[in-house]
Amino acid sequence: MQRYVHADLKRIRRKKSHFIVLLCIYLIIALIAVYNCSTGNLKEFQNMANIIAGTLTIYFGIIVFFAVFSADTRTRTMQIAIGSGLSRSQVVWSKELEGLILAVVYDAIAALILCLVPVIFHASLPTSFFSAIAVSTIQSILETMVFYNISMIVIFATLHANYAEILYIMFSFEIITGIFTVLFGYLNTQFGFPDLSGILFSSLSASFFADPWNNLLNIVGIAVYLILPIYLSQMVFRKKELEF
Amino acid sequence: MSEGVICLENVVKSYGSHQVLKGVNLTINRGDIFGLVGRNGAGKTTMFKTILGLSDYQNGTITINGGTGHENRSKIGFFIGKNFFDYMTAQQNLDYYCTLKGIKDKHEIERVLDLVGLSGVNSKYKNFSLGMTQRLGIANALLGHPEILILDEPVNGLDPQGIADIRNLMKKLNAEEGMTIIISSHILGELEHTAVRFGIVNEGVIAAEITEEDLQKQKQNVNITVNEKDAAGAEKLLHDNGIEVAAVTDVATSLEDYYFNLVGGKK
Repeated sequence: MQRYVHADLKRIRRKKSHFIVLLCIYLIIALIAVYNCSTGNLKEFQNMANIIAGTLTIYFGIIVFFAVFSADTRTRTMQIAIGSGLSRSQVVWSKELEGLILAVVYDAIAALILCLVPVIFHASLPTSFFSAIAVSTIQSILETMVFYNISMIVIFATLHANYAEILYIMFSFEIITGIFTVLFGYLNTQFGFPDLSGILFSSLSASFFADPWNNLLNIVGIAVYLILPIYLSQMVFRKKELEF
Repeated sequence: MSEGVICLENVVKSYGSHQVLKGVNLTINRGDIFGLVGRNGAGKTTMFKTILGLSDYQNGTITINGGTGHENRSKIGFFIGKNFFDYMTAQQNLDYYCTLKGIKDKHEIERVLDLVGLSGVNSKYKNFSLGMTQRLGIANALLGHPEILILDEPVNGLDPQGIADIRNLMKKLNAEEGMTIIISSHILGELEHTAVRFGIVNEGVIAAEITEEDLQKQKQNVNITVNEKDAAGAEKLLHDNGIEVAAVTDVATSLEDYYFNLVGGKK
């Protein structure tokens, strides 16, 4: 399994366009940080930094998802991996690990930029600023992985990356969350159904990170969002016919 | 007695209501060069896919090197298509597969590229011709000295020299490394030159197994060659014993003849 992860990370490292896009995003983040710090508007910088850290799911999540699955499904390397002795379950876990490694590394670099720029500019920021950036980054990584895992089910069910990529984009832009929120609201007001919007991942995550001690049970919900899609991916992939 | 490295026992595979493999029984012996022939849709590719774990089957057992676990497939090298990344060179693509297969020896890449005649090619895969793609696919299959080699239509797109090179390579690997090789091909004449045992797949079963020696024994005809001008009246003249016989040649049944006699159809 580690061999597959290692090989894929090596392959991703060789894709120039992947790094050009990454560098552009880091550059934009750095420029925004530098601009806000240099003007001395630290309040504005803190707001901006928190917004950036909270939206890493969109830019880095999409990049990670494309990097892990796009070329792989096109070249059918999964078939080679399975034919060379990996089990299907190991393939799913390999993809999960790859996504996690890339999401953590890319998000952490962005967070590091947001934290380093004010230090370089000798801006006196409260410790709470740095912890807020850390929490937002962790929240983004979790969100990325949940959306990644759910979209992964589509990959293993269809072996086509395109549908899953669209799904990931819809998740990251909160389109699907929005649809469910509206649906649950409608069911609640029209038919008296209990309001289920609290069980959406965004709600569970937001309330947990806002007040962890009073929302400890949310961890169970978050874990279900993380693990259940992996299990479902394995299920749909177990007997999937793989073409040459 | 020969040792079976790949054994299929009563393997049944269906796509919906359509049964593609109808109880396949096949044993590939260690050191064989086994040719699998059959018309399109006969079940050759499905058979390979089930061996490689890419296709689930409803009934039967597939044993590789005595075991049925997925890890038993690690000794198989296989060529099934164009599994390469456009933006990487041949070396980089093979480096990817070396890592995936856990091959540490970096000289391995040069070794296999040399074997298939691609050493020194530094262009990206997207610029490869069909023949180069085939060669790279075979190189990938050869990484790490596999015990068993499965090649699905390996000479498609190769020029006659390329076909001869691959044929010689197969024979060399079989003779020097004792590699067990399974090849499927539509080019029966070529397969006849390479393999020593053949399995004829027809309508989801192995309709017959035959060896190179069996083919030689199947000499059915004595070919009497007569001058072209005498051909029309040859039968009559033979009866009359009055014609000049230019040559008498033994003609062995070709694999192609055997195949068409068995499964029907036209050459």
